[in-house]
Amino acid sequence: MLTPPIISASWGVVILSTLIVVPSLVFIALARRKKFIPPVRRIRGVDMVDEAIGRSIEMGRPMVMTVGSPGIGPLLLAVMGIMGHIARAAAKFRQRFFVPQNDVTVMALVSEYLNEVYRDAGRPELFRMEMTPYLSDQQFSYASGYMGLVHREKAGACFLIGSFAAESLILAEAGQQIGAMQVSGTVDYSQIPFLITSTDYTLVGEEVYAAGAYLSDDPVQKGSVAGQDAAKAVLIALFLTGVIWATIATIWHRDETPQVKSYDVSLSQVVYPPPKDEGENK
Amino acid sequence: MTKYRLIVLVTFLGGLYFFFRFFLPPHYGGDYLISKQTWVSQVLNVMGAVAVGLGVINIGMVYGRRVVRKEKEWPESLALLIAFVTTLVFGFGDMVYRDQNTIWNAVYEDIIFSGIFTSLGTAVFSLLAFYITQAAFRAFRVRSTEAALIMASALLIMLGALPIPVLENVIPVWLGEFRTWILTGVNVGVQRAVLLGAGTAGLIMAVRMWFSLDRSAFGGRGAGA
Repeated sequence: MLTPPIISASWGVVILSTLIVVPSLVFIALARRKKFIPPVRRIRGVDMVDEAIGRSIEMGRPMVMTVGSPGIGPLLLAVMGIMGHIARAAAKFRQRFFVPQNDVTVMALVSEYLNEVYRDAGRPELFRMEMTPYLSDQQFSYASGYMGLVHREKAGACFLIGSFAAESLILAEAGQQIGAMQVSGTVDYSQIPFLITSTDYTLVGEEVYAAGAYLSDDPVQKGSVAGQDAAKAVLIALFLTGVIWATIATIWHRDETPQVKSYDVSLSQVVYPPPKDEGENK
Repeated sequence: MTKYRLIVLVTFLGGLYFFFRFFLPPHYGGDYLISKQTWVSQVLNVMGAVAVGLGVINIGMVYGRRVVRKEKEWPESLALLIAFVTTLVFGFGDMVYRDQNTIWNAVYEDIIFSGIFTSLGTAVFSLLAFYITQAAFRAFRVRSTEAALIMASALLIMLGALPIPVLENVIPVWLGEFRTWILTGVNVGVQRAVLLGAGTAGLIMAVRMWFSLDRSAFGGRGAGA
């Protein structure tokens, strides 16, 4: 049986969502009140971000960052944690920093955020609109605009962290051609191989969120990372139960059906119940 | 009401709609909220359309300033502004005289869109072929155990998918099965692991956005923290 489309939540989804979200809210609340700030392990990607910043500043060459096309959402918020860290270093060492844009709504948010960062760093005069140039909302027009910017400015470090599609390799090769140190990160698994082969270090999947939390030094973000681990423990327990259930069901019904599909396991149907009319038709 | 509080309020109300739209049972108002989704999407589209003006202002200020002050590479900026204004004017003309055979339609559709824009987009896309070759060359340099593993699996997958009829009898059958196993077994497992981690983190980040727990990103205090 195929998994039905999800239109509204079943009780299974309500319970599962509660089990995932509540531990995170508890950890965030504890961290905000400074009762328990969970330690976040320093991942290698964070070292590489700092190394790229340092190298760019030593060479006196600007830094360029692209977030791809994540839209305004959770990923952009996570990437902005890393962006803030780079912008603070750029403000401190009076280094040029560019974040070319392909989405006007994201541009508005990023410009405001960078303005705040420069103001908090005590260098509001260094923030200029040229830092967030709007290139195009078309995929390959944006990619060619980014290539031109990286080549013209001779960037010392490029950060490609966010959501990418087919343009990822074009963006990554632009930095590679001018010898810039590049750190990338994405949650789009189809683009991970391209970024790994073309950049110096790649943050994979949730590392993007963890790096943002580590670099921002915000207790809320650290509590959130601990909450994610608790949520993953819940999901892993659910997966293991499902695997064992499906294996037993396959052995039990081996005379009737050669292989039990994932949605045939009744545990799956608790989470996503089959539509009522489908049951009636049967 | 300060700007920050207004943003927090609008974000919370927006999140509240989508929360109830998904979690409320259909007979207890869920159906009503689902029926209002088109209206909510229109509101979001209007807000997005307002932001388009910001893009125009940004282009005008960044590139216009460069031209006025005759800064470095100002002729390129001038070319961009001319292209921008021309496309805008003929785009509006095309919209006004839609489905009519006027000069507006001919210039916009045949010259600007099909002749220039599509061709340039295709040219940039075609760069991918060369870049993939360059990236593959770097990836296939065996400098570590991990690189050797990538190299070996990539080689076997490519051999298993070769569309050359002459080699059909030369390449063993197990290679095709091995390729399928790598792609649908090992690879899918890794993809799901990435999705699990990123999906969980994204969900929790979304909850933080809803309650505006990250003050820095919404213009509150702490952006520089």
